[in-house]
Amino acid sequence: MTAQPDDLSIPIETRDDFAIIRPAGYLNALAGDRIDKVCRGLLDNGTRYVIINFREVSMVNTIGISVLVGIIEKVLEHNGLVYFTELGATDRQIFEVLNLTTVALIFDSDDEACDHLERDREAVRRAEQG
Amino acid sequence: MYLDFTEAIQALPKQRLLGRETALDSLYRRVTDGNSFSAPLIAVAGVAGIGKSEVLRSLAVRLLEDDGAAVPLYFDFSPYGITGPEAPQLSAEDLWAELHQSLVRQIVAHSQELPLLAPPLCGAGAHELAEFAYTAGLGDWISRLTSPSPSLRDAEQTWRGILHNRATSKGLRPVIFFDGLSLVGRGSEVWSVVRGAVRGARAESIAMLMENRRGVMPLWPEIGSIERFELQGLHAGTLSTLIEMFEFPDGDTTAASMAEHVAQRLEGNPLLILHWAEAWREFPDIKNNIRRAESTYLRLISVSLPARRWRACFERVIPPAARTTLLRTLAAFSEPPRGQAFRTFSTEEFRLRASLSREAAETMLSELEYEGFIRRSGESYAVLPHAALRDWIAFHAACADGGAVESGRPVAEFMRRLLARNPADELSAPMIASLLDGFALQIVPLPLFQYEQYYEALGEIPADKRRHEVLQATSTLRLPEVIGVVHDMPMPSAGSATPPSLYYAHGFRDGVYRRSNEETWIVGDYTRLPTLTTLEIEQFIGAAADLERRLGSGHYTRWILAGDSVSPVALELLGRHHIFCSASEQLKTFISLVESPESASGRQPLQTRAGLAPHVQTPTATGRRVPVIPIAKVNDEGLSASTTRLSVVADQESEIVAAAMAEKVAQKGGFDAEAIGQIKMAVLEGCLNAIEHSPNTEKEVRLTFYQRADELEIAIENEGEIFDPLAVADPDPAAKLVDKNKRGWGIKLMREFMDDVRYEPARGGMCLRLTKKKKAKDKEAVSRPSGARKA
Repeated sequence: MTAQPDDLSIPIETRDDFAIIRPAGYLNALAGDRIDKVCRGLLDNGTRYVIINFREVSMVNTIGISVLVGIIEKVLEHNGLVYFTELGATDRQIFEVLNLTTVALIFDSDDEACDHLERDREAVRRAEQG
Repeated sequence: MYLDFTEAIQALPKQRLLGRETALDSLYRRVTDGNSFSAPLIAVAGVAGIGKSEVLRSLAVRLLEDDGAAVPLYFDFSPYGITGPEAPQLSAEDLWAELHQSLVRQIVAHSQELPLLAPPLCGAGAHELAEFAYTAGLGDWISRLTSPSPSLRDAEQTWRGILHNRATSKGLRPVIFFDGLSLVGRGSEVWSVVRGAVRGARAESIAMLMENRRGVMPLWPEIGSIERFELQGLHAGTLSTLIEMFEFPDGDTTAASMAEHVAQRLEGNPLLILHWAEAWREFPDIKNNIRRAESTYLRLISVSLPARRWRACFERVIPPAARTTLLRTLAAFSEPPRGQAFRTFSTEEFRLRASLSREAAETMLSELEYEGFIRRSGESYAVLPHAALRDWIAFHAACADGGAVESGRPVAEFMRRLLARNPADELSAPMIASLLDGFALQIVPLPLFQYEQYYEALGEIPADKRRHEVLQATSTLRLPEVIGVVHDMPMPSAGSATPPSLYYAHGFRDGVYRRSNEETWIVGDYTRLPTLTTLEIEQFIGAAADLERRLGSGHYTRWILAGDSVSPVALELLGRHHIFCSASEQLKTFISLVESPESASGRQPLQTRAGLAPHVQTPTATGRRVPVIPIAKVNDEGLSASTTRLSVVADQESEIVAAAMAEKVAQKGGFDAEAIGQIKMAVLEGCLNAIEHSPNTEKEVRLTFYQRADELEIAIENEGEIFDPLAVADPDPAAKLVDKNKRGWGIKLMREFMDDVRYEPARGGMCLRLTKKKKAKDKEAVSRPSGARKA
């Protein structure tokens, strides 16, 4: 069995222009790189909105955070948005004290994130139509 | 074709109608209420298979048997729900004619006490029927029975006229039953006939009950309100009685226990449960009960009557080209978010997912709602929250993808996900983590970890006596003290559709927190598989080897949690690779021992957690007694302190061990949950920094935890370059977005979470000191005597 981590390690649910990524375990540099690789592929395939669900994440370190910031940068460059959902109490604190809420959105559930992105999508559509 | 219930009533076994006595009594009272100005129109509603038709037929029988109540006139429209080439091609006029004939037939039979199924009434053509009807006093309306192609208006008038005749004549008032309407398609001609018939019944104040899954009839404003009577699933007590009535072979007690479990999943739906029991009897050759249950459930949701009905309804409204996509779409929308019963979706979400135009999406949603696959609430939809229906959707969506039914293994995997297991038969993920977390230097019988030895030694002994015997085992194993458990991300595997869950637990032997005493347990969870084979073991060996490479050199113990059994070939592989293996019985025994320590004759009881208590002496394998760190220390203020030391290798993921230890120390120190989380993260980050600045991975990072009455101080020392990380400015997220270097968050995090952060030179490197003060209420909690209770 290969030791190489690959996209299949991370459960991903893709829809038309958004994807829900569900990493599990310890979100460190290794896991962060996997997620980054996944997101690059998604963005290349037209995904604009990325929801990263933290329900199965046991811990995150700041190296993982820095990778997530890199993901946020790329998604914003594609005129998209990054959402973080189902953060645990400590993870939510981490995001708040590091002011990551200024560059990404945090919701309690995927559905709430989907509601927001739906509204954003509509707003973008209206703006494009002038 | 007969529309009356002569055949249906003969097919009604009364003893099978369980749990509906209250419903029957209620409906009986409603329809026999003598007040002719309040004859009810009632739609009997509920999901498919819940027993609506059974209730109507039983009520009709009761009225028949109960002289002096009312006369039931029963009409079954289910033959008109058939689609395809066999579907009856009747116009509304033809249907009215059928309805009239059935009405007259039943009236004549009741009034003249003639059997419906026997000659001369049975088989009587329209003219003969007219003669009978004349004899029965139906008068002028009879001629209409023989009129060629009456208009719809005339047909309705005939219906109403006959009802009027019955309602005003001496004798019992009729009660009309319309059964099988759930199966009638929305655009069917049947509805125009039903509408006219209901109008007539209302006008003549005749009670009417209609079987309709949806509970609400089409919008008929001239008719007014129709009551809705909803049937729910059977209660647990009734389910048990129903299951006892199934004719399982003698001694098949497993079937009954499985049936109860499945009955709960099927939400007390009697038709589904009945079909499940019938399907169970079709697999007598499958001896493994789990597999038999899976095969049974598969049959239930694929070829049983309820499944065929769902399919018929689905295919009636969804064109062939769209069926696969729609099934996949519904399957995707069937998974509810955590803590919720269902997932809602909008028209737009549906349209995008199914790749439809707006108009097509709205049409299909409307049809799916009508046919009972989804429900609507405002602008949102949801797949009906019924397990069997969702299983049917998921199954057929998987079939559409190909391969799901062609190979036994994928089907078995699929069914394991669908069929909710008895919690006692399977360890859940949180339980495995908890199991490992409970390792606290206990001495346990070694056979609990050795499948072959356990069953060789105890296989002939009855299961209920094995527990006692295993406690007498002379070979034992001393568990390490586990500091932290990690659920590893599953790696893809070629052999199994679902990668196994892999856990690893960081522990220390003998309570000594030194690197040389580290022991990591790597655990693979295969409890969902009845039989462990070499395929799974090879998969586990590969995953464990990868993990060990990642974690670095050390002492590893591999442990597989199996289901019911292990194949002989797999046993050899386990032995060759020195892998522990515990099947379900061993695990249950192990859990019970760890949770309830007991002593057997001549045997030491299982030791409970020694924790971080000072001066605990433990024997080593050689028999030498080694004093255990921690060392008690008194600080300058005179407050007593306890100190714990830990050293970890300066390599990746060692920070997890440090963080886990910090969590335990903080818990012991009485910090609240929020503070514990903050301390844990701060130590994680501090340790990460130390590892990064160590010159190589052979170096160590040494942590010392100073537990004081009002604070916890943690010193993290590493060899390596001297630097001043506190000179780094706090990072700004917006700036970091455009900065190549995205890092630099750790210091800020430590500063935010801890009360004091200091770096100072230390021997050969740096020392980071983190301090967290206790809040007032935490101090009070720790200072209270151990035996005291909160007021």
